[in-house]
Amino acid sequence: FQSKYDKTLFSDELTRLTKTRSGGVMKIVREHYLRDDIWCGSEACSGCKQESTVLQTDACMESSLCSYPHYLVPDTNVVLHQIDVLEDPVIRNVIILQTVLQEVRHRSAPVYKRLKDVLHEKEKHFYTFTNEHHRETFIDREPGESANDRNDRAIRVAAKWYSQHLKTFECDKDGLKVVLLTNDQGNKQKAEESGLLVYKCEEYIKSLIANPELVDRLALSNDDKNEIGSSKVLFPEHLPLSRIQAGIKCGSFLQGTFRASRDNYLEATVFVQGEGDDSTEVLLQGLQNLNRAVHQDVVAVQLLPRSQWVAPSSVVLQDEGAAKDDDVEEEEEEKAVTEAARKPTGKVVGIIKRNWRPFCGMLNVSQIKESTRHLFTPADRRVPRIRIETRQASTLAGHRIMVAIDGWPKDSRYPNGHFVRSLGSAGEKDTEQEVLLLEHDVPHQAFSQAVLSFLPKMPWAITPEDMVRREDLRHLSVCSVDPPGCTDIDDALHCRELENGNLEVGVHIADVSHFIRPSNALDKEAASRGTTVYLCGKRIDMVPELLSSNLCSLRSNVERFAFSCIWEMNHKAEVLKTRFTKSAINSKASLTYAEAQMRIDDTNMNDEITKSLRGLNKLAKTLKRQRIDKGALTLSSLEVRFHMDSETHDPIDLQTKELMETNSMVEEFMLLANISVAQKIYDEFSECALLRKHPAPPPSNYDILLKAAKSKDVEIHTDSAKALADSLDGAKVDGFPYFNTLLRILATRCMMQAVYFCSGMDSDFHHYGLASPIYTHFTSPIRRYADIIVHRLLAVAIGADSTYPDLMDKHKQSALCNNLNYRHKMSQYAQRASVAFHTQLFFKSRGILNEEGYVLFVRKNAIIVLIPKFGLEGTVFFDTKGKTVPNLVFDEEGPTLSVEQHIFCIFDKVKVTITLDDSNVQHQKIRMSLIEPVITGVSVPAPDAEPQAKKLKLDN
Amino acid sequence: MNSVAALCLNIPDIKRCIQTEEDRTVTVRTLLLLSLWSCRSSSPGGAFGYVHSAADTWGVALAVRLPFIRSLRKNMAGLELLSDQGYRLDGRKAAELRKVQARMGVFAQADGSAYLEQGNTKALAVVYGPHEIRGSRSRALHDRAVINCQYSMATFSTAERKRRPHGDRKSTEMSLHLKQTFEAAVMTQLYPRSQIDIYVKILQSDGGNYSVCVNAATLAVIDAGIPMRDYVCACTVGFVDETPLADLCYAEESGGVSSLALALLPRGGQIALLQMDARLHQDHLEALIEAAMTACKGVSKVLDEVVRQHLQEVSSLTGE
Repeated sequence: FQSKYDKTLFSDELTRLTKTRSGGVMKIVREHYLRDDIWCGSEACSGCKQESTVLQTDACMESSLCSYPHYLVPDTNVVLHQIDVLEDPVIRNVIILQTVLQEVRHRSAPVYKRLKDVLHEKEKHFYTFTNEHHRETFIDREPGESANDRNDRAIRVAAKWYSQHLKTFECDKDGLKVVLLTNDQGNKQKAEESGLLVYKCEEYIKSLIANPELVDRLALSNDDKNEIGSSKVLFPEHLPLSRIQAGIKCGSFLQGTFRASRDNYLEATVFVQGEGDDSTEVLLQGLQNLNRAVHQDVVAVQLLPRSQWVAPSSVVLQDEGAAKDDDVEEEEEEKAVTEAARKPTGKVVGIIKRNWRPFCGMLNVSQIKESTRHLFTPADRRVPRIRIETRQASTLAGHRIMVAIDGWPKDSRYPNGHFVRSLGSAGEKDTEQEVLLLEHDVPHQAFSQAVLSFLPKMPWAITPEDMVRREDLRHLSVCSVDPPGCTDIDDALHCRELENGNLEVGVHIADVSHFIRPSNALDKEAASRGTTVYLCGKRIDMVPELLSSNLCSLRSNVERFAFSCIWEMNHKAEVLKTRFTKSAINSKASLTYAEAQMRIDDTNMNDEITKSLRGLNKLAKTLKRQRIDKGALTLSSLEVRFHMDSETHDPIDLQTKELMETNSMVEEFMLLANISVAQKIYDEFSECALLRKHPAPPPSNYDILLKAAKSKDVEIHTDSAKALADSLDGAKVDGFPYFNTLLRILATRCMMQAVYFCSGMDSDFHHYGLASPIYTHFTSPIRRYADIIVHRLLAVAIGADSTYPDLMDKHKQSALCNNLNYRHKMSQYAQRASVAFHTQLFFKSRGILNEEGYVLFVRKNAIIVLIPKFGLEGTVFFDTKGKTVPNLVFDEEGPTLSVEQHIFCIFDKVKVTITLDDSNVQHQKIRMSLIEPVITGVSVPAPDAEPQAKKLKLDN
Repeated sequence: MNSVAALCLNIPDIKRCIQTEEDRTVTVRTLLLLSLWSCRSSSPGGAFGYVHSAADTWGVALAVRLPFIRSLRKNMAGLELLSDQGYRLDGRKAAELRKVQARMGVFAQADGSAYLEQGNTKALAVVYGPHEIRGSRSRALHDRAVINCQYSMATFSTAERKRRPHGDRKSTEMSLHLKQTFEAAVMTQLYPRSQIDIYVKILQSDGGNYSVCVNAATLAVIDAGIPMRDYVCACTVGFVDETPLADLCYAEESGGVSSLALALLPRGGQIALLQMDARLHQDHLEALIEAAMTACKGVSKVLDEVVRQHLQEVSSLTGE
């Protein structure tokens, strides 16, 4: 044992003086072993006894500088700044030194993660060389040498070693070489002196013959920045971090998150989180005071003296300073505001942490034809425009592109950035989809190799070992009921009569936690994605497709693992016994809602499945009644379904979703299963159960609903969920059948967002909407990560699986809940955005339409109209630019808005014409204008109904 | 005479004795293996206030978990304890030990002595005896020798000089663990009514103090010519990224790893002491113990070599 070390390990003591936290000086001595058994990773090498090689022999990147095969050795700064370039598939055969990897890890976590992903990718041929532990490449710090210089030297030594090593051990003399990439002039010079091949990153990338567009992805380095922008200083200098920290400590600065205003580019607020709940907002106005902060940065602000405090302006200002960059005049606003409206106002003195991400947007091509510098307008209005340098402006014009910010020098009006990639031309479905995914922070890249490696090997079959802890329920006539076209089936049901006359009802949920084991890469990826995102015509899976649509999906006539929740009920739908078990099932049919409904209704059918469905349906009705009696709310929101053209995937028709009895049947049992499971896991793990709660909304939320109901002389009680449910049921107006639905839509808007939480961190568990004291999500593990955790908890509770530390840590669980809530919210936004986009596409193909709708809200200068046919909401503005504004009187009490002679109230029936406003390519909108009631100067004449004919044709 | 088999346990026996928490993680506070005699005579740990289950038929005293202080301490230093390439902070691979160097017979006046370095942890062990019981004679046992251990750390053993008074909790506990380890290994029944003193001092501390002490003391006991059942070899192992790391250094120990110390009689594979303060999932325990046993066997080879070399030197000096 030991003798082996004597050969390969050479210990070396490193001594460092390090400052301790208390300010004292501490000596740290640690051992550092140097080894002989670290291999070079090259295919061409015959001297190393490595088992697998990463670097190829014919490392071909066609470059005009290096015509021979070569490996690249980038230094730390190149990796940090040019990770976009390194990620490109063209760049292969790169040696990442341990020194570089460690420095990157230290300096930037996101870049480190990206670098690691690249290192894992087999096609990229990136190799990590542990140079710090190699006997010939390790160097100690020399007296007087700074840590950075030492690292630079270590990189040079390692590069030198590689070039000599390859020379010695090459089998064929094809001249494999090592090229060091560095942007540091001093480092470059020293490397050249020691006979290394060394290039600046820009030089090298520009020399690549096959890929000239790669140059645009280069981040601007420091000396380039100096060229851009005039010499005049526009912004005050940022303070160094040490002074910021001192300032925050003594209270002269405040730390907070910078939030730019959506409407006014000269205005922002900084949200300062105080102790406990008290948090303040500091207003910032003017470019000087914003001082180069970008939305979401963590900044330090200094409050201005009280005399300079201002009120937020209500003016909408968009940065229009097109190509003539630097001479935008700052618009002076009249500051005649009342004292009361003034808010704490401040200025940014320093940036604590930049939160830059690559931004989506479009290029404003410079008016000068030959110019390579262009401005980029992000899709998010809160992000300033970014100046980038590109030679492909003409190709990129009209495309959606991604741009990353590199820096914002104090003499530049705009931040400098570089082009990352193009997403495709604007307005195209795929491009827009990509944009909305990126802008809503939905992780949607293909699953990495590391993640896929944890998938079960195909062909997959159930083995006897699997069945040890499972109940065999394959003989039961289980079936699933889902929307048409559903491939990720996570639930199936059965119902049968027992000998004692009671009914046995089983809900079988896909056993995803069997395939996704805790803390492996697959699990981590799923946890970070949090949920499957359904867009129109596209699904972004949370778990790889093999699981979501095959091994976990409870398809018919295949054997699948399930987690079953089995109740014994009497015919009054009272639960007598509840049992949870892992099982294996064989679904006999996967039905759509309509098919299931047909079977139930068809008296001729009397097979097992139909009987089971009928039993379920009967029980579900009883369950639903019981639930409503307890005060569960039935709310309404219009969900739209697009009928897609099977070839072009363009929407051809738009329909609101229809609900059938079977929908509610499945829903009832899912609710029951969720509640049963929630109770079980909370009983077993009172500290770390993952639950879902829906807080009761504060009374003020209901104001709009109460006012609206009152206008039709209907009274709504909102004291409790039950009172609300009852009064909604009773709210009817003669001759206005749609009134009740509209009220429910309004009621939905008053609600709070339901959230996941960890039972040990909260005391209020109530689910307001379902009127249940406890609730969780158990029934959709394929598309929600929360359910996977709940499955694991339940499995432990019934002794079917083992735990792991993170599952029992309430703080970690709470952090996970936060992520799940965030992902859930973003996925909903993305979904809505996708619907909105498809609606636009639909109306684009339709031309102009005239439809009837109802006024949903009344605003100061507009009414919001809902068109039930499409579930579409739109705004009718009365003060359009360039037109004479009619006489508007807004009454907040009603609320009503009188336009000239006509008075609009909530629920008024109106007729509108719908058009697509595509004047702004990045932000297309549905525009509505009034046809009926006719108000002179406001309403428009009804356009031809010519598109109607077209519609008929399409419907056939 | 008790046979060795009755003294020491193997993994399944240990598993039976370990308490499983509600969340299926285990915390082995101290699992001590004692001869049946010592169970009867002294109640180890009783002095420290942790609860004992009555020594069961296996002669095992199982201490119940104290509220663990070092509970899952986060990887505070932010160090990457095991790189993707499989190298640890100091360049070792997961299963590799630190460099072990040892000398026996460093002091002439003591009956036995040894100096041992395991990486940067350095310990000196001295053995006196067997001799008559010193102090109160009532401590004498009629059928075997009493083992008296004393553990201490030099003031200069850590980065900051620190006076370490005798008899503080930590060193008393360590002394007790050493005592129990050696009671399981030394053939005390050969010396009834006598006493064996083992003094160990840590000269420089860099993780794994207990194991280094055990290893040094083993050599000293051998140097003193006291018969043992086998070498007692000890090693710590930690658990990082699903991988057991052998022989932790200080940076790793303080990096929030759940570590486990194990003393082994390698030839028979019997465990003399097992200690773990942190939490660990039940499923991982066996793998961790396996790794610790392998590491201990590695140490035993080195110790064996040292002993043989020492014997050769001694015999060549005396001209035999």
